[in-house]
Amino acid sequence: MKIIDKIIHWSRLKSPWILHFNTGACNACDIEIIAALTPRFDLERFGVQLKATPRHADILVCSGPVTRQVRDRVIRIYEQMPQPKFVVAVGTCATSGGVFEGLYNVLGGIDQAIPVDAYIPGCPASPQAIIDGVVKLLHKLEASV
Amino acid sequence: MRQKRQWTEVGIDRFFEAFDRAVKQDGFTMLCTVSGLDEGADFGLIYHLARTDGEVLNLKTKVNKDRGEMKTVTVYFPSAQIYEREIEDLFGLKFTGLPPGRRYPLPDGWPTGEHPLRKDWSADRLKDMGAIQMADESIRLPIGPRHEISPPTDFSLTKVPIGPQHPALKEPESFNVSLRGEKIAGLEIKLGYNHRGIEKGCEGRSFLQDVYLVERICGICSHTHSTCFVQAVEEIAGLEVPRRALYIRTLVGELERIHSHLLWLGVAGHEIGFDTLLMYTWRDREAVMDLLATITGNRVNYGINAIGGVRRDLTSEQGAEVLKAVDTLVEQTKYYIGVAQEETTLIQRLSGVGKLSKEDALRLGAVGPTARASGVARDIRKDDPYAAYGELDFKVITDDHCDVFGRTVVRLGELMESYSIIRQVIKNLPDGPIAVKAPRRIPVGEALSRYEAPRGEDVHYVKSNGGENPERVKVRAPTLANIQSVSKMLEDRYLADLPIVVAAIDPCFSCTDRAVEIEGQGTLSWEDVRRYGIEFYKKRGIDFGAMKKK
Repeated sequence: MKIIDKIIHWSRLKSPWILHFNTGACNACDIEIIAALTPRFDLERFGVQLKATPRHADILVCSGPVTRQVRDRVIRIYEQMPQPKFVVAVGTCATSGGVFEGLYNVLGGIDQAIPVDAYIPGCPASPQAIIDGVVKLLHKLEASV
Repeated sequence: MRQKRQWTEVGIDRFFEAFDRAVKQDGFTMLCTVSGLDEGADFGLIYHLARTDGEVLNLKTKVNKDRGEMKTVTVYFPSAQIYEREIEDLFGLKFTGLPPGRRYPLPDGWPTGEHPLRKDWSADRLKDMGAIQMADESIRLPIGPRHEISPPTDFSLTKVPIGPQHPALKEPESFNVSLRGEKIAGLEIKLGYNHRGIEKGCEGRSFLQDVYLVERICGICSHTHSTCFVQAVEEIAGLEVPRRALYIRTLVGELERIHSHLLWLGVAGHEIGFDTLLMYTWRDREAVMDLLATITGNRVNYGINAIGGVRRDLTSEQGAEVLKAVDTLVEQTKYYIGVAQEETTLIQRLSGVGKLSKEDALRLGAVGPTARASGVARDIRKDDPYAAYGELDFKVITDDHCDVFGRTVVRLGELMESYSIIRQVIKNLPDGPIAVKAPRRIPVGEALSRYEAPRGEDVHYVKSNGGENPERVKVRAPTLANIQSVSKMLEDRYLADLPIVVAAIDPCFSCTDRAVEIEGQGTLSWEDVRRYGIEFYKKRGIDFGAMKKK
């Protein structure tokens, strides 16, 4: 590996920037994601920062089942993210559709629309679980080289 | 039957006469919602009208399916528009006289003639059709004639799509804003990204399962929805809920209000670039989350309600823990009140923004802190007491600033009231059982339940036909009532005020995606955009290429 690649890889591991998108969730996972970013749990100590646009994000954090109305939009957001990109599905609904499975406007989990790298179960996923999921994803990234 | 409820059915020919009399003579000046029903050959329509003293008139009429249309009541209540559109989409009953606007809540590209809440409809019908291409029209601008707010010849307007993805707000929702310069000239709100079809889902599940499904309508006010639902079911089944259970419900409800208001204060701070406030309030909010986890077993989606009572008792140690945490929270809230009253930047940023006069608040049917900040003293806990609120002493906080600052003041005041309610609940907690046994089959009947959520009035209408599953569950969340006043608040305001004004009603929602398409040229590829930019500056005498060579 060239030295420049090493620097890029290191900086990627130290600053995984995230974009949060609600694909039809009930807001429970969403407030737990924000809770994970605020002082008590402080995900920022791993360099994780919430970003405003997909153009700045490395990791797309999705919560909720994919509704028919939102499917095209989540694909569009995923396409707008620069490579390499990762998707984390937070909560049981995002994993499989959960309690909303079978409802007419719900397509199922996030993987019905875009590829997912990490699933964090829970209804809602607790901030501790979210931190664990993110750290596991970072380990996976570290090992990938 | 519960007090303060009237149920009347009139024929369609005498309906408008009765409606007029109820609104103009009997003083039923609020429309909670309109519930649609599929009753075989007819559509049933129930107009839930409320009076300031908490009395609710449920005026029912039937429209024959062959007739297939109904006159709108928007002349009485402009807010009826969204409820009627919902019935149009979900039942296929046409409302005549509605102003032009987009569908709600089904997605664009939904096949015509498919109305999910009809009894003979099931989701399998979509399976047979294969994949449905759900077009998202708001992606491409300029928007077509259907969505035009101003005449298409008016090119002085810039159109900015906001949503459905935004970093600060938590639910997807989309705004098409027309700007004249910096000022908002028109606004189109597009909802329905979060429409999952829970009402239909409730019909296919048992009453007990529905408690957990409605709890997940919204994770921030999950106790609101589950309490509102079980109250309606208990009323139909004629269950006498033990007082201890009512007190525990009240306790969890108020803890939820505290966590929601603190959450709102943080989000409001974030919207105006005051992230320190976000971090502070969310740090303090964790104290409430800990209490909720101790009492109910979960931080969010508590699952404490059961039909006929609550599932977990409150021990005296937990009670002491709650009181201890409340003492700290009172201190912290006093600090935030100080910040709101003294911090000049905060006052200047929030004052005069998002004005909603008292008349407009009443006319547009605003609820909760949004209405109370416009001087409308309307609180279901006081007007139509449920759970233990009838036995507790608290004030309804109002404010006459009529702007975002007022809404902040109201919410902070309500926090202090909530602390006082919690202290009373712990002090007066009655002994006894925490639940009564509920039958699996709920007898025939219908009920309307109201609950003062942190965001305003939540309404559930439940109908049972004697089976294990409900015949119909209708939910009207507070945001749907408040979203209609947002366009009024934003009239002729600056674009920069949009996030805070929208956040000020405390919506459940999410949005920031900006892409303006150049008139008449279609979508441009990246290369085209680059070339367009270079030429744009060349025309104005700036040549970046030449600069580089130097």
